[in-house]
Amino acid sequence: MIKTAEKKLSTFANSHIVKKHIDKCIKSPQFLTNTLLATSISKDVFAYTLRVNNTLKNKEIPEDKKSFVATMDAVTGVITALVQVSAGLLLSNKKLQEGICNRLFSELKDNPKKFKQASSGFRAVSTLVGATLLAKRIIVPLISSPIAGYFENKHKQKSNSK
Amino acid sequence: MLKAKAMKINSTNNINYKGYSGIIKNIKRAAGNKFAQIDQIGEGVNIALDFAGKAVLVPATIMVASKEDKGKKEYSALKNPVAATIQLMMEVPILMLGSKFIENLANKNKLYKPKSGISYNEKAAKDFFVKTLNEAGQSNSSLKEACIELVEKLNKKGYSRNLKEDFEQAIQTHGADFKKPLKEALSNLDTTHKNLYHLQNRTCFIAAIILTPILCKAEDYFFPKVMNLIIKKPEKKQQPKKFFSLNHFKAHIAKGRTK
Repeated sequence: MIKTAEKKLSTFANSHIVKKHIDKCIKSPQFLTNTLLATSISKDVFAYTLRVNNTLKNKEIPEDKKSFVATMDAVTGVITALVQVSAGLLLSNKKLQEGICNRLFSELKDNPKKFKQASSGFRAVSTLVGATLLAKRIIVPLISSPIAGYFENKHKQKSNSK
Repeated sequence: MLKAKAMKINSTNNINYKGYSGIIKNIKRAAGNKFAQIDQIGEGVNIALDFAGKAVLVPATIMVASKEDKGKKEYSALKNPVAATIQLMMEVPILMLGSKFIENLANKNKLYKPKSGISYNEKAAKDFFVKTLNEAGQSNSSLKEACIELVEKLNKKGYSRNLKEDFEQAIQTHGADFKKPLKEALSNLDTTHKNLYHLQNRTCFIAAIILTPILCKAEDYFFPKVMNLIIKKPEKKQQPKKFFSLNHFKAHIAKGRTK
């Protein structure tokens, strides 16, 4: 089994796509930040897809409630992805970053190399913190709670009319 | 003289300005230096941020913003740190063990294919750089002295951006005759280190995705058990023993009568 893993890993590591991807990650801090953002979002999307699938297959959940629970999970998943993408794009915006870095690191302007390093470090950290902490963990719960309430009310109204 | 006293310069990285505006300048410079030190951000940071968000921010948001009753709010808020801890306990070992496995394979040259032209063998790149440095040090004692501590650091703590800058500085100052081969060897070590780092990160991300269904199942299995341990069911209130009651009094009277 380990031999198979070794072989597959070697093929993966030497594939054209991985080579190109690593090269881009090394050359462009922006690309690296976007990659990390994409990995974080894709993990969430995959987890929510699994959750929706599990809910639909779960026999213990009553049929009339199943679609509602699955819809809620799907809506939360989509909101999570959208909010993270928009927060990431907004925070990694070149002009916005330049403006913040010029103000924040004004003391390093006498050392252009250090200023560049600090700027790229700040861009990566601020984009990730903004997207995975502020957007995903504060904005998403704040948005999804009223949406959940709206869907719950609608569901109640439907079941009452029946 | 006074000016020199007012503005004490320790090094190019650390300038101590005085006064209120000086404090802000110092903070800005310190922040700049800290951000400049950030070498590479990978899956480890992603996992740590995700954990911090789930364990701290989500419960706080629920407690502040939710309009449910207190019991429901507390249960919902507690759910997140528990889920985050379970996730952390599964993702961190995947990242650490996976990274170690890939590093071992790379150092044994098992990931090397001559046709592809990309190298992940950091150990070989490090050995080559140290060998080049030693060769240069044989005819240049000042370079040898300048790099002894740096090589020790490289062997003990591993390669980092700060160490690279220190080596570059030493080569620039002392190794005029060997600049080209030393810079090439250092650049090769830097690229190989980054290649390996990114390969480890992407592979561990794929492993985490593949293991997500198991992670979800584990969460479903452990979550109610942990919650049962944390939230204890309220115990039935025991009625306090009365030392004296009307019934006691009646019984006492009846007892007296029979006597």
